[in-house]
Amino acid sequence: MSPTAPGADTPDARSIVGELDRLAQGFREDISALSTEQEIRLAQARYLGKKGLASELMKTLGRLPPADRPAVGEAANKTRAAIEGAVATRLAALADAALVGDLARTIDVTLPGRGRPLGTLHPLTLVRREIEGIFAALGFEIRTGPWLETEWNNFDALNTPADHPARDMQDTFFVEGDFILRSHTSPVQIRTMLAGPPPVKIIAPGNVFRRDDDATHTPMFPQVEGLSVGASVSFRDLQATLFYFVQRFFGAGTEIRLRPSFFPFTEPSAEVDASCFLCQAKAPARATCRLCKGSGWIEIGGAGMVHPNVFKAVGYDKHDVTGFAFGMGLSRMAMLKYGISDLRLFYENDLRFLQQFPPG
Amino acid sequence: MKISLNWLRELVDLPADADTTAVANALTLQGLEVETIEMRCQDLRGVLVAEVLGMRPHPNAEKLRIVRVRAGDREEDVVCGAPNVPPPGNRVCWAPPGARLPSGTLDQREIRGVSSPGMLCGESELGIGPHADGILILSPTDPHGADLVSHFGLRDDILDVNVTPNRPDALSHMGIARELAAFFGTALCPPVIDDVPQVAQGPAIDVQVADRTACPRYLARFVTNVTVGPSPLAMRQRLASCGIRAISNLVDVTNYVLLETGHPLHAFDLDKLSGGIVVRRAGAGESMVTLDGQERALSVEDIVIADARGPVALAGVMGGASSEVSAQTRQVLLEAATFEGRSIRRTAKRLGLHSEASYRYERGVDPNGIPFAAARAAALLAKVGGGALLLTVVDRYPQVVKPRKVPLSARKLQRLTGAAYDADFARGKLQRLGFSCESTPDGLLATVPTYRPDISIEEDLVEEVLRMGEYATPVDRGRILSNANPLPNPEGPADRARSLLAAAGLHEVATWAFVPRAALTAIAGDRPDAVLSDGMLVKNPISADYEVMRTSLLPGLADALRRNLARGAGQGALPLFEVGPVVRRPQPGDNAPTEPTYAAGILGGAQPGWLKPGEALDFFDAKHVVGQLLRGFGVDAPTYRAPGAAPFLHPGVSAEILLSDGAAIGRVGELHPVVARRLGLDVKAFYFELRLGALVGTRPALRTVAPARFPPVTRDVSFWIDAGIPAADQQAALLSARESLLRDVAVREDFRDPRYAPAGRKGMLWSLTYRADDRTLTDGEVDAAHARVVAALSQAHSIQIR
Repeated sequence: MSPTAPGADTPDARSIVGELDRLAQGFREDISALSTEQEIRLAQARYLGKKGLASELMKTLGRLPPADRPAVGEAANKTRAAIEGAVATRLAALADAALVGDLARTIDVTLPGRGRPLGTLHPLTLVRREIEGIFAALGFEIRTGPWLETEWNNFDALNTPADHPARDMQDTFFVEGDFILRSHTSPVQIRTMLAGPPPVKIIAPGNVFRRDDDATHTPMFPQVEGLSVGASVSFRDLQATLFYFVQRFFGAGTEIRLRPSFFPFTEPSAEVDASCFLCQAKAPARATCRLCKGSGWIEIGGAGMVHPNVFKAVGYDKHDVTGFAFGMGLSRMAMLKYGISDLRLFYENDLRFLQQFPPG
Repeated sequence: MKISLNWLRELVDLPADADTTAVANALTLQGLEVETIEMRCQDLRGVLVAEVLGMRPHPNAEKLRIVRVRAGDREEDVVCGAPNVPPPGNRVCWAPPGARLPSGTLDQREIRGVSSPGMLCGESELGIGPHADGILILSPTDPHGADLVSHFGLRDDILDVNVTPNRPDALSHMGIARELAAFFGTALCPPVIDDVPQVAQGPAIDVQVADRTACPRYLARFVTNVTVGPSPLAMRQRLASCGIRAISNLVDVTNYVLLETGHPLHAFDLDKLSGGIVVRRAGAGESMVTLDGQERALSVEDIVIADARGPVALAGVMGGASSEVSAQTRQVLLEAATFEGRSIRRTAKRLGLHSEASYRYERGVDPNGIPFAAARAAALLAKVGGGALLLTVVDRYPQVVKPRKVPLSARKLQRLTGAAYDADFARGKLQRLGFSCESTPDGLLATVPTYRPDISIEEDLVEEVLRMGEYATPVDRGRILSNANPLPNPEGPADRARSLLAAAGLHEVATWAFVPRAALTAIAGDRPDAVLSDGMLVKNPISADYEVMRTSLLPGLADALRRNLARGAGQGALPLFEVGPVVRRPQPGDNAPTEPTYAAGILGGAQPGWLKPGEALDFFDAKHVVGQLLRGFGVDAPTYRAPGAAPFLHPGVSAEILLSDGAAIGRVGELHPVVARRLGLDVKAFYFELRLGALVGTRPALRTVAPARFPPVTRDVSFWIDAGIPAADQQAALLSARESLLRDVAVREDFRDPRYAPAGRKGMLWSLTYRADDRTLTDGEVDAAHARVVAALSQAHSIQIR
């Protein structure tokens, strides 16, 4: 359809209004067949643009008698509004149709996700962090020290004289240049006390080394030791500290049991047992418990009151201070915590094992 | 140490309700941990003492015999294959049908055509001893028909007690009995010395101690006219229960009294000694043959017992062959002594001869317990060997050891324990343990029995007080909150690195601190001589696998990757990492080795996921991880400088990593193919390592910039350029225009397809982003700025716009 051009000399208000009506009608018909916004906007420009059909028609307005002009102007505005309305309606209809189409789309949500999966932390790292967190909550600071130590820091200062069986070549790794590989993290305690006056409240995590390599020993293994020294640190504080630890680590309801023992660097000394968390140390499960083997208790480490000779070695006056120390093996704690039966798994680095631990 | 409960019950009154578990528990709570309980002869039932009545050959087998036995009013013919069936009148062990042996239940069975009611048993079949070379022969006085197990008290519980090295007093049945008496508050019943014939005259010799330090006390007793033979079954049984093999009555008595009292004893054949004996240190170059037949070169530290001809025993360690008792021995010198523990330990260690005796001497034997142990052993020997005890006793004990006196103040006790114990409380506990106590103004003064060498200071007494039941006091829960601190512990740099690497998809491994020398040689490239300039040698490694302290995390990571590949894990990605120290030899001027901590990783295998199956990992995957890690430490724009400056990385596919101040902090790259092969890897692998110490404190104080309010405009530039010019140089050239509107430069493509690229050139596509802070840019402004930037690039490098 094309509008009829009015005679140049005889503009006629009525015919212009009629033309405008026909334009609006024609536009509606035009865009009903269009299905993209771009096509619709092009059509809109063809009617309403600067050189569009409506604009051309309106150029004749100036030649109309002034009295006719308002009626034609009003008709022109109506046509414009009709066209714009038609555009909006058509676009909305298209958008609705598109939305319906989009909502009809489905995917297989059971296919795997994309991207690099999370890695994992080693179980010995996880258990160390957990233990560090528990003691940090009690105000213990974390201290570390070197693997290569002097015999003095590792033995002499810890009241383990030269003829003590623990100093045999059997147990300790010797490294060229008069060094040894520390056999426990206790030298960190010595270093800390030498570095400053009491009070001292630290835990010392880290790898230690002993010349053992069999089903239940690895030549390198991680430990955490604790030391608290102050004006009135007592055996009962030690007991309470370890109690707090087992409650957090193994769960509320866990009890501790201290048994007399011997370590050169503590007096009195104790073995530390926790009540078995598997059978809850209760009959009848206890009788057949594979973890505590019926005793109701599982050994978790050693502890004691710092021996006066240790204070002497670091220049603390035993009349001014008392202190407790404790230590535990992280491999054992991880084995207990995660139900790991074979110590060697920690160092075989088998991904099928490692991937079972989420990053903490 | 193995402890027989039957034996123990003879030495201490135990409460009527104290069963094996209660006794074991008591010992454990006293600090003498019972590790296992072995129930002896649980599987032995219905075996009878039987008298041999006669014996005839088996009709169908040359090596079998038919033995007629009597047990009570039963008489049967039993087929027996043992070579040692005794003459009629002797007693043997008969397991009739229905009897239970460790190997099973007996029945009536036909043996080569003759029906046999059960069998005659040997020690090993009964499970009571090691001898398997014949049947067990009992004494003719044992009543036939008696039940073997109950008659000889064979059913017993054996406690394996872990005695800590400070407690030599507990290394015997008497010592354990003493602890139980203290625990239960019951009476000790020391063994009664047998009443045996004593004679005033008889063969005896003199003893001199030349070195009093080596031998503080030496006591000799003499037993005359003994007859050597097997010891009674009950004694052999107890020895076997405690892990000691019965040999002869003479030797068995010394071992029996050792287990009973804790005092090592040694028997010499007096007729084989020449003149008197002397206790001295071995001379230089001296040697002797010990009773295991070995010629031993002696050291001047060793303590020997010597007669006129030379050493006859290695004191406290092993007897000598020349003075060894034998079946013919009639006159015996019984030695009870103490020797210097340190010397015994060194000798035993040097010669690899560890015995029940050396074990106790190393820990300390109470010299004041010697007379009793010697009297007990001599009388027992005279009893079982049918001899007489000589009244003569030679006792060399010049420096009598007196009980030590140790004070304990109530204040110290309270301070150390945190409990309100007073002196009376402590006295009650100590007295039960055999200490006598007198009052002092601030506490007490304890007299320590000489069998407790471990008690020398106040703290030792505190432990003794606590040991008497006080270790088990209920926890004072109020003490926990009083020192709680709710502040979380900050994560250290090593743990931060671990978290970041795990978040980047890597798996943490744990590798050894020591590596085989070959592993360090493998990563040294063409400088194998330089390997040990850093690596410190372990002097006593368990094996070559643990020979050198690691100087790099690479060998351990490569090994972990190799093992996982060998397990068939190569289908997906194998990204592994470790964070930990390496050990470097002290540099001139340092007095200690350095132990810098590294974060390192190795990447092998293919891309994870399912959209790009099989696409291999490459350098940029490793570089991405490095970037993530550095970003986590606040390092945004590290420099990657090729080549990687490490002999173990591919020279063309590696980079050194530098901070903005130029400090080198690590490297990343493909493993050198030769190194990979040496490390056992037959796949491409990518490795990175970063020195964590260099990253601590690099994080600058955080300053933020508000997001821009006006839109950016992006223009691309695509060109051919010399293939040797790295992206970083191109970027530097683009930035050299110092165009203020240029806000971002990003490389989009590095195109090297030889079908399209001119020889020696590569196609590059960069996206440049322009923006102003105060207005929306016009096309004209952007075009002009872009032209200036591209011109700067053209000026720096020969490029050809595509």
